[in-house]
Amino acid sequence: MSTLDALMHGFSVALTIQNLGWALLGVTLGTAVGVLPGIGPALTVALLLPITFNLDPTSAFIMFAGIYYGGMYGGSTTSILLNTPGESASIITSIEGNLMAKKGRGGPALATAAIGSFVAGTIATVLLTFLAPAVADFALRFGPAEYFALMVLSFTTVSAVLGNSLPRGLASLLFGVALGLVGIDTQTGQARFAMGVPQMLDGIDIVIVVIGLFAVGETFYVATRKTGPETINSVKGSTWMTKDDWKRSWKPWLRGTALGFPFGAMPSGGGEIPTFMSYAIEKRLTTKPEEFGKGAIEGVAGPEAANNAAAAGVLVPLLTLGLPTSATAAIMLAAFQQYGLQPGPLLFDNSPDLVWGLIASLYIGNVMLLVLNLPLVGLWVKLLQIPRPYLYGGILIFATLGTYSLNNSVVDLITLYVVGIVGFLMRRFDIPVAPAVIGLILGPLAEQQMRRALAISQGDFTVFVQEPISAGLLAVAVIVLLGPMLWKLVVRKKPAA
Amino acid sequence: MTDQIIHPRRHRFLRGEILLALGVVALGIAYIFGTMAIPVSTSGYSRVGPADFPWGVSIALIVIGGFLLREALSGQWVGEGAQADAPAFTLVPFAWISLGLILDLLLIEPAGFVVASAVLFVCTAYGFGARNWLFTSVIAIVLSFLTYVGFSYGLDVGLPPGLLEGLV
Repeated sequence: MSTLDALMHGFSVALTIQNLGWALLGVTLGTAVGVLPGIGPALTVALLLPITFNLDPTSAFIMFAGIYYGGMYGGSTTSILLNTPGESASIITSIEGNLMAKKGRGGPALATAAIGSFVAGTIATVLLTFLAPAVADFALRFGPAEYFALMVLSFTTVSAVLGNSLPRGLASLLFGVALGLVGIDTQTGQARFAMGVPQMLDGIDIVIVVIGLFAVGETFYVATRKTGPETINSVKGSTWMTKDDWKRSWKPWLRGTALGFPFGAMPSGGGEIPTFMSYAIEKRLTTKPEEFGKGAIEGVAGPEAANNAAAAGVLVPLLTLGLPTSATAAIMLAAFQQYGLQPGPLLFDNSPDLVWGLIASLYIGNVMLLVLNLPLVGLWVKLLQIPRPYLYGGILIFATLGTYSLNNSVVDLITLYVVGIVGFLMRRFDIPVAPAVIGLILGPLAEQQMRRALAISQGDFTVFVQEPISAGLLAVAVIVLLGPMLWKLVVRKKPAA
Repeated sequence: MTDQIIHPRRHRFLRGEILLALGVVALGIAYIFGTMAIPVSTSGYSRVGPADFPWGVSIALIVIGGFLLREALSGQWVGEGAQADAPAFTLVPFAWISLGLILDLLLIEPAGFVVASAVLFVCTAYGFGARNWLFTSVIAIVLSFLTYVGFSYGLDVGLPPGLLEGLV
């Protein structure tokens, strides 16, 4: 089946009334949680996991994908209109976007963000459509040793990319891996780190960890900072872009897409770096450098496009290799596991309805989001006016509800509280939380692949460096870990010589 | 790197960054004891047992804890509390929200979802500065009640009933 045939089949799945409904529900929810400070797509999917258990997997994933894309669109609205950006990938957007809004140009800023997100999202989805089957084909050659090497590479790059320092990223990752070890070892049936608590034998559910870190930890963090009242910039004047705005926006959109997609598609992830790079490039290429720092439209158009293209790129390693490189991708991997599905090359053969229905729904979701976010932007702005005490009170009710409904167990609520305190400390002390989530879901898989590889090689650890693919991947991982340190040594020695 | 000014009055050793780094080392040590408690059969056909990967993770935790300690002591790692432009910090809301979460987990089974959630909502809102007890309580009960009804009857999620749930 050629890719185009497969995509057409995907559209036939996604265009049923039922699945269009799920997609619409997903993008609406996604935009709402993207707009609201304190909650994001990862948390939302985590909260929905327990209640979507009985849903058809294809429909569930169409909804999750809508939440994922919608969160990106909604996040830009908040970063433009509010002086505090909702998520890390829209920090850059908030610089120029917020200045534009203060100058009364909030409308065009929102428009270039939404249209740029649409352009980038659509182009990146086309790239995903054609790249994913090729990567899946290549991944068919991977054995346990290659998978293990790939996961090690992903561990190091994710730790290096998400956050401000490698040790802090690795600490977060290892915390997640350590939590992932708790429970019955699936291969030998031995209990590990359960401390005699029977509820711990099943392991610590990723849903609880995501809710704890993102909802409870975030609530503690926001509550303990005595910030002044937030100023919401209202959307004054026309939301339409002028001819000049269009002329200044389309190239940054395309350049942002070209930067964002490859960054997302690599097994390192991170939507932040391409947004920073896009901002730097647009600042250099602009015809109106005097406007940068005062609200330049290029500084919104480029990073927003990069952000959305990276979000689509992240789906390539997730679907083809089962490798999540963002917190939302990690919780989506958990969703696959809930349905007994294993993302990877075989998913394209075994569940074509799901994979291609999901990809087709991304095209549809982008169109829906453009409509939801341009004419209806005023509606979303109203969400920002919910008083903070009630917003966070509501978030915690849903957090405890989602946790409790997993197993109807109070032990889970205790775990939630403890993880929430850890999340609060991590936020407070600038330790990224996303690597912990990725480590928790990927750690057990990495161990499984390692033990499989070593069982095949009869305990010979050189198996990981004998195959060229796994040796190459591990070499890159070592460079990521040690490269910056060696580079510092070289730079330090030079002036002395 | 951005210019981050360390608060002059901060304690030299009792800093959060250092305590956290030591915490990571302590977790690694605790995991070593946990790893040693895993029963490993020596006769199994698999040469890699259930304790090997945990050994690696424990040792890695200790090593990374060491790197964190170096970052903290050298001043490369500065949490938000020590940054000059950081907003004022207070633990009072933390205490209120903690109270809410603890009461929630104590009340959810004996008193039911609606009561537990309403208490959690009121405590959290109070922590965030809401001072109108009556209005907040009304919102808390209405929201908890609607959530209960929606999830129990609309989505078939089993939530513990209690004092107020008998009304539906």
